[in-house]
Amino acid sequence: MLNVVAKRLLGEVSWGLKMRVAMGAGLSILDMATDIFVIMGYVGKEKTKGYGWSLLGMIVASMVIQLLMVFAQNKGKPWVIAKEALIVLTAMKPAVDASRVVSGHEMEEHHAWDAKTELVFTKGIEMVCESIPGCLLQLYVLLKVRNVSRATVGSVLVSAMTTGFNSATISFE
Amino acid sequence: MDPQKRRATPDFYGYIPDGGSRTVIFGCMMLNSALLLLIRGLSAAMLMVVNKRYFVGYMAGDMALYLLQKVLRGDFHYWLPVDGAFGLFMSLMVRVIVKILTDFTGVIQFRGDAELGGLFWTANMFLAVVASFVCVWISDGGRTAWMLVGGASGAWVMTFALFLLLMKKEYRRTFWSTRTGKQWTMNFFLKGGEDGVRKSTMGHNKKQWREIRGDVKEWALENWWRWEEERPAWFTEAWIAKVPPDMIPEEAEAEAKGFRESARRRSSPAMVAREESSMRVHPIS
Repeated sequence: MLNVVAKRLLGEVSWGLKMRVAMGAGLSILDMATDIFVIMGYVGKEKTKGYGWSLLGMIVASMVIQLLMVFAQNKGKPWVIAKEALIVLTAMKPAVDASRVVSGHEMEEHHAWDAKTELVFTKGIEMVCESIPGCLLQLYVLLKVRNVSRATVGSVLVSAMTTGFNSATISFE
Repeated sequence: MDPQKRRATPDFYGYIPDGGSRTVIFGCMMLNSALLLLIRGLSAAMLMVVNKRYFVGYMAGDMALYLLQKVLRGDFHYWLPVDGAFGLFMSLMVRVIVKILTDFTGVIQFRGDAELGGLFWTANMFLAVVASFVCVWISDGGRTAWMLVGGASGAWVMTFALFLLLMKKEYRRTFWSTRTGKQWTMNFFLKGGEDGVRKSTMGHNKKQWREIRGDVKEWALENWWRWEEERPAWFTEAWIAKVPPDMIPEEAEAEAKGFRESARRRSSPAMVAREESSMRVHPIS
């Protein structure tokens, strides 16, 4: 109880927390949008088609593992699972998790782990499955195919910023 | 941030000062990770263009050295209380994932004793940057590549230096700590002071605290009836179920056995995580 009160008080006094949540949400959506844009660009060309599918595979793997985590966290609550799955599929999970941590969201009876642990798991999954290999792959394609388009460079930069944000959040919150 | 974690591990949590510099520190941490990913990603991609085997060989060799030093220091087992072959597999997976995350993003949290450890984390960061220059040299990337990696590395050093400057200075030593994960686990008991912190040791992998098992047993047997009477918040069925039978007074063992059986029926990876999340201080954290 005291922990929750302390977290809520911290949440009220610091505008920085709110800014971080908003930034997390914005970066997550932007990252997803640029990744989809790059995948479409890759798949559209014979020379880069395989890389496009690989990038898509990384996003799907990240989402599938996050969905499994949502299932484990809310086992026996189908409506909650459905709601949480929608959050994962719309790429809003990192932002929602951050918001729950800063608002002192309490662990519910059916939950397997607390909000902070969920945030660390989500960000870890996203970084290992998608951000790091995705960034590497895009840079590799950029050098290998000499396909230096603004979209690819933009996508790499957004991926790096999103990963940086996730990494900082794990240590900061 | 979390008051419970600050209380349990005051020499690790609480390094960010209050006030306006918090946002600057967050910005430094974010930029630092993003820059490292760009440096590492670009140099790795250049190496892969030359020969993918070079990259695989470098990553595998680096990982093998890391795991070897963990084994040699008796610190391979992860803190989560999972035994047997699955426990070994889980420890390996977590160690590999945390190392990859640190290599490419430098998550500051992973300098914790339970993860890479302070000194290894710092050395790993600097070696990662140096290795990036070696990759550029091998791939003969030309002036642009040297400028990109050099510029980003310079910015990385600057953001890290600013972070060190702004954080509470007494926590800087966490970046060259040589403590192991098992020392961290045992310190809950040895230096924890209050029972609510000392009991955390028993919730960790028993391989990490076997050196002090006798002392923990003596402490548990001595205090058991007091806890029964006072019922502190942490003295729950879930915690009692995890206490080894020989650390519980004979008269209380029947009740504890019931808790253990109940916990076993409900047992699942999620259950383990749930029980631990209340006492964990270094997340995968």
